[in-house]
Amino acid sequence: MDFMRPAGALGKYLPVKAVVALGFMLALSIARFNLLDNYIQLVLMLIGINLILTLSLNLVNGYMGEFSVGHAGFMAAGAYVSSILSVRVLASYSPVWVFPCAVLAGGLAAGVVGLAVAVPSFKTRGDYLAIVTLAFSMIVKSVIENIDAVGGPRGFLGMDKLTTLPWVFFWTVAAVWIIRNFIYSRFGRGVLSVREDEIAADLTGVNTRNVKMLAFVVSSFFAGIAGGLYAHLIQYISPGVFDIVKSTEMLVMVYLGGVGSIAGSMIGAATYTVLLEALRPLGIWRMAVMPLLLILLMIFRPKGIMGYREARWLSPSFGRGTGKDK
Amino acid sequence: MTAPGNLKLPPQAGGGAALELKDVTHHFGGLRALSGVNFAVAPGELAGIIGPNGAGKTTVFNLITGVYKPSIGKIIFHGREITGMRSSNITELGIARTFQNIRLFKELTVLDNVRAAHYARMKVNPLEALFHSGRHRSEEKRVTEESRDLLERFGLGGSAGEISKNLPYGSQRRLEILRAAATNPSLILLDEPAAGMHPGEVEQLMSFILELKKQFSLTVLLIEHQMRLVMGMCSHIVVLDFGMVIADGGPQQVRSDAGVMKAYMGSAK
Amino acid sequence: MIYFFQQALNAAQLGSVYALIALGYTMVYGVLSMINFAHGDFFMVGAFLCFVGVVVLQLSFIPVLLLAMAGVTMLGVATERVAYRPLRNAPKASAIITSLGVGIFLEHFTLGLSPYPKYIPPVLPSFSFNAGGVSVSTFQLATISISFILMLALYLVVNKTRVGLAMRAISADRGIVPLMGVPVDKIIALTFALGSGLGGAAGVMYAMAYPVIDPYIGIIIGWKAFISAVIGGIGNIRGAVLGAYILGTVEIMTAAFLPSTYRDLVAFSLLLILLIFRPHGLLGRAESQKV
Repeated sequence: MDFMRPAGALGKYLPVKAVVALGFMLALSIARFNLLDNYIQLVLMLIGINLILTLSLNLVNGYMGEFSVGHAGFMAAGAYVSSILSVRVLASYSPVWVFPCAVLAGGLAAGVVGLAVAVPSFKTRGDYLAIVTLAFSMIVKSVIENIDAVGGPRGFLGMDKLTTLPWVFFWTVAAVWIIRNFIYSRFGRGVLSVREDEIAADLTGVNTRNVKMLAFVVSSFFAGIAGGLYAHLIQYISPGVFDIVKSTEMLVMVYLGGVGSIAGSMIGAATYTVLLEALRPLGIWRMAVMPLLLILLMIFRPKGIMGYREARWLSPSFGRGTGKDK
Repeated sequence: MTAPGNLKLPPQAGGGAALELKDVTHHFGGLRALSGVNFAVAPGELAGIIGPNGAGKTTVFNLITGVYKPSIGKIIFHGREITGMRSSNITELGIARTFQNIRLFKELTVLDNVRAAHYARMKVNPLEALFHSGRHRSEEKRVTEESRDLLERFGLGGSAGEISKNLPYGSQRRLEILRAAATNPSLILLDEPAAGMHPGEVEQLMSFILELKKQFSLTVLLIEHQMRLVMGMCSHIVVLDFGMVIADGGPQQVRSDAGVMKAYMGSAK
Repeated sequence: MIYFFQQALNAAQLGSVYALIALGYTMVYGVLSMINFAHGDFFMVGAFLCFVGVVVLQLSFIPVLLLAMAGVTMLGVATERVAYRPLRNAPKASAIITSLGVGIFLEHFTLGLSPYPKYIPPVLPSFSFNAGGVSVSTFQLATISISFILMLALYLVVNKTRVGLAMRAISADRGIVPLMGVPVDKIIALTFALGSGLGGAAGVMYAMAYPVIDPYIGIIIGWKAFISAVIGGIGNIRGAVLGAYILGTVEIMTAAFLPSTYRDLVAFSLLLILLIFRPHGLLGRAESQKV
């Protein structure tokens, strides 16, 4: 779509595009020529996957002001659907296009599941909606545990390691771009107005039902994409992977980086992933130190590092010069 | 800004009244808040609802805008029944409102408060928005320009980029009215627009409302406690007491009504 | 029929454990409108204190119970003071995240101290007697009767004392209560103390029924208790007890007639269905939005 932009707009984002293109080249060559240690590549890929998850959750929790504690359920849907497709259905085709199709299908499946959570959100808000999302993710987990064909509680494996650095890079950029577009659009303002005052939003002509549905679908779609990437990176998934701890991790990244901010999501995902790796020498105590850091952060900076602020290059008024939209 | 004024034709012109309430009754639990309310507002009129506290004035607004559904009765907007419709659809048809306690989108900028009000009129589908299509961009540009223009014309242009909760109280009131106007209504409902303002501000607000009414060719229905404002502005006044219409007519007629005197003077400020 | 009574007894036992924990969720929600997600882990700490009392200190039943209750009470009060109080006026989400953080911390801190599951030998003489064909164990009897006593005590505190009155007042309107001279901080701390104490007791009851414990037991049991509180209408004390016995019954009956893996599925589906028809629980009251 970018080539259709007027010249001015193209120029405005030129540095951003150059960086993205360069990054993609770099990702390609790192994967192709093994320029980096495998472990570092793995961590980079985890950062990307976590960033997609963080953006996904931030859309619902940060921008829409709802409180989902069940995003691991969407991730599970994406992971299982894409894995089943790539192992059972598409296995005989060339991996070159099996993988993108499988991941995309996982995202779409998760999006459909997201609709199921959007419907109760019409009537319920706040704590009760949080409970609905939680119950829903537990149901997804229980359902998987009770389907023997996908391994039940033992999990599912057999996926090839198809997730590579360029693919993660591609999906991460896509997630940032699409979610940013969404937020700075008609619907994004609808989402924000729902957060601010749902009744006033309705009485200002915002169809709050449609807006909520859309936000949940976009959010769960990307959680599903992240699930597919994760499944084809670790090559093993089980219902236990997508439990409440996973959802909590996503919450931590969102609230660490900052609610309602894409730049915050980046900071949150990267910091959390790296910190978790850096604390590895602590062994079993690692997960005791991590939450302590989180609690300190919440006490001293309750909106997270970025909290409702956005990096300039991500907002549409970037480089406009006039009309200082703060 | 495109030509200000009512772009939307009344759905079934010829019905006469812009808004008509027919035998509207509403209960809260066992409590009867409104009983058999009848009144009509003519197109282009500036009408007022007055009445003591608890008379059911805001309930009337809530029923018209679909926040509640009336227990009995019909609400007709330009000949079309809107009883029981979704609030956002009613707004889309051309009824906008403000609230007794200001309800801005507090953390959003002044500009975004107004832009959000364009939601129903924007012709962009989700996929176009997600993938930043040409139409999405041109619609964004149009809405931004129109919104800035509206703010400019009504004295809030300078604060377009400010977070709306940081505006002074009077400006918040005006912004809320402008947000309602940005939905391009033909009828606007103002719930105590002058509440909490001192006399000087009230003067300004009156001319602000009249100017807006003129530029957008609006029909205005307002709830107000301040008698002076209502008597000075409104050509048509409906008096409510205990959920019933006790008088309906011009300012002179209402002023001299014995029942109104009795009901209203008891608790008037 | 005897089978049914046997299952009903099991349901009463499970329901009692859920009820004790659910009360903690609901009381804290009542005064703070905050879901204390760490509460399930308070319960877990209670179970580990039971282990400490029985195995390390070689105490008998009542001292073990008191130890667990006192220990978890202190934990609850300390958590409120250190982690939650600074966030009382922060966005609601921060408090919830913090409570999730406290929960993860407690789980992994305990894991660090005790990397392997622990077995707790019976603390009561373990025998069953036959009541008209239904076999009743001492554990079941102790669980049900002690829960009943604790709940009765709680009922009296909440409804018959000045402190209880203050708690109910805060739960009705936290904004105005300080103006009337109620020491809000103290009452909130006391609420945490009561709720956590009950959670600690539940830890002991649980450990008697399922003597192998690990640091993660608080997660799923905690969620179940939380569901109980929501079914009853969170913030409502009688609702929490009602919800707990309903959930206990549903779970035991599911396990009796369906494969046991369906237990969670049924529990969570029940919750979802209930929330669709009664979004504020069985006894909870919908707060109307003022326009």
